[in-house]
Amino acid sequence: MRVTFDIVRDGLSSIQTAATSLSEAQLQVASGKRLRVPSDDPLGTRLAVGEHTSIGAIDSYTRSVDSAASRLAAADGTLTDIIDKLTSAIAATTGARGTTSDPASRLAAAATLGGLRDALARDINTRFDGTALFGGTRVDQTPYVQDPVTGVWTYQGDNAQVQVEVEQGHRVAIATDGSSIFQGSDPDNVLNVLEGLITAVTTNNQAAMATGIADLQRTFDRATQAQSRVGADEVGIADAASRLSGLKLAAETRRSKVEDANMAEAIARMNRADTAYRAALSAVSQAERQSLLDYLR
Amino acid sequence: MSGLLDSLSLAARSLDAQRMGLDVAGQNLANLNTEGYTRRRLELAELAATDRSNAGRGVEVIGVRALRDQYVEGRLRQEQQGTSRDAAIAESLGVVESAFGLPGQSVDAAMTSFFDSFAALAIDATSSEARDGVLVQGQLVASSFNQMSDRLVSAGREADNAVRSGVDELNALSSRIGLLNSKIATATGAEVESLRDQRAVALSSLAELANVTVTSRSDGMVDVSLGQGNPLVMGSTAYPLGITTSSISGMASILSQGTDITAEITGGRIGGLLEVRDQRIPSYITRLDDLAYQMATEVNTRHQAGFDANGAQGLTFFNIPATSAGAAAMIAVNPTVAADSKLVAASSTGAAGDNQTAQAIAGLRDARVLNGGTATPSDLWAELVYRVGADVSTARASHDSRQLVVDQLQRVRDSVSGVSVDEEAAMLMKFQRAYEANARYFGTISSVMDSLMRMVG
Repeated sequence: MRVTFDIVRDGLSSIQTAATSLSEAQLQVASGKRLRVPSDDPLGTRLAVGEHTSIGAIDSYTRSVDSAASRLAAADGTLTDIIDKLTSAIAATTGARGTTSDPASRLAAAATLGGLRDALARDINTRFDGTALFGGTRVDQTPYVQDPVTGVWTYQGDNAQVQVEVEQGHRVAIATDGSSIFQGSDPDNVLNVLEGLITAVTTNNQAAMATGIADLQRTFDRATQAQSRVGADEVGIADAASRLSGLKLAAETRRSKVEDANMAEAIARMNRADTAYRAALSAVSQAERQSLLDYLR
Repeated sequence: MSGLLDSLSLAARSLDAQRMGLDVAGQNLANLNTEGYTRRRLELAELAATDRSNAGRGVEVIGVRALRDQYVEGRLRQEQQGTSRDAAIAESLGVVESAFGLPGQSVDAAMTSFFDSFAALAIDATSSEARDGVLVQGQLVASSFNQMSDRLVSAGREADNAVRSGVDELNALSSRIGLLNSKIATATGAEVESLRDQRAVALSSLAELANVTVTSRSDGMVDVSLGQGNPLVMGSTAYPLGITTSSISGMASILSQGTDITAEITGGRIGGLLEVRDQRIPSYITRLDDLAYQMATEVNTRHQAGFDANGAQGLTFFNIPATSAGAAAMIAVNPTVAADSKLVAASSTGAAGDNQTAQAIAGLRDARVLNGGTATPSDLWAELVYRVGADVSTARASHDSRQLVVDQLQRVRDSVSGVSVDEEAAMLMKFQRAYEANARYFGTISSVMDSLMRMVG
């Protein structure tokens, strides 16, 4: 076969091919990215979209975890205060009971109970970040409100919970039904019980004091159980945070594997492409330079 | 004496023939870089002796022949149609794919942020900042769909403009081929080969534009048809293609003799551009519309089942058309909701702190509720991006492999028709030596005649 050398077809095209490889290798090294457009690796791009979405979801769950952790810590601390106050109320009422108490000590006990009632009401009506912790989903309402005329405390919340998802399928309550803790199946809520106890202590009504102590004890038990649930949720979201952190690391690793250039490999490829480019330039210049004309005299 | 004069004539003819050999080599070298030039070869023949008194009458020039391989040229045109088609697809879709952006920086990121905004609202359903955030992200995701749809529609229009220019170019080439045909039919001698070279270049350019078929005729002219036998050039007559603009799509339809032949153009650059314009881009737009429509419908369903901050039933969150067609271009946050963030529904009961609706909408991010419960919004986007990337990658790979065939066919063509500097240098030397030898012969005869004349004198 006759061989003819075409500088455009045979020369420039091979230079162009080598230059394209070199340019791509340089871009990878400069940007640190293996994927620049979907056609670089269509399947890899599809995987990368999935990994970015996963990372976005993990970040969102992490924000929920952080927020829920703060609210649970607030609820935990508040329940601790409530339990302390219920203990004090039971102790004060127990002290006022019996044959040894005199009117002055009962009045003092009643005053103590009044103070504890007010403090307990403040605890129960605690707001975190502007929303009530113990009003169910009616977070904008004050959970327990006292009627200024009758002095009766009424629950303003509802019997639902506000839950947030901290990881897929794992929800924790960030606002709970206060009546399930502070009243339960009892005929009256703990604040009204304290109101009754103040009267009972003041009037030395032993039977009412005994009933009141029993009511406080049940509230104490429910508050303790509620705190246990909050504690369990706190542990649960700490575990979730740890899992999310691990999942994010794994997703980032997978994303990086698809998207980012392996720098050692990219630099080696760039060096090879550089050599190939120089070789193409040299080969074309050699081929173009020589002809029979150089040897004819 | 008459014998010596015959010898001088023989030498003169030989000198002319060798000089012509030098001219042909010079012509070949002069056209070393002329596109489509077919190398010429001088054809010589011996002039036999007329009687026993002489050895022969020397050499005569039979002609100058162009070394052309019509089969290879036909194959080359065939392959060029495919190569140009793939190049046009790769080039047009290359622009489209860059519009899709990198993973995590396009519509997918906007959807993620939108669902995140509902997750933030679920953390505090009473937060006005979180509600504002939902509206901002809703508008951003809608505008990212709008922009992506615009880019795809623009890419379709650019392909359409390129089709129109391609048809103009094709018509110009057809009329040029018709003109060259008529000149070839009437021309004589060396001019014919030059005209054929020009026509071969025009035919090659035509093959790069569309799937044409070239048929040679006995009178030296060629007929060119397009697609399924639609005439482009018949002898010296060119049949220009027409263009009409569809009143619905605004896209060009290609007419041959008044008949719409758009669907028949499947090769060459115009064929590639038509495929991009009529098949690839519409399929991407359909997928994008499906994603926008299904995502918006799922959001709306949950939003309407919820209650806003005023305790009223939720409105539609996104405004979308009744069907998926055009959904990506038209999706927008309901202006009533956009004007008042309290109308964002987060609650499933009407209670201010309830966040079940916000939670349900945020959960769409991971929920396989699209495409009949088989895909998440991110899955559909990833599938679309994959499709675009795979189409570009396939077109490039196909172009590269076809280009190898074209290069090889060009080498084969050049092995027959191409000019070799080495070969022409050898020819120069060969004819130069022959010229020198014949000049010597001429000198010898002349000297003999001088001797004879001196004897007479």
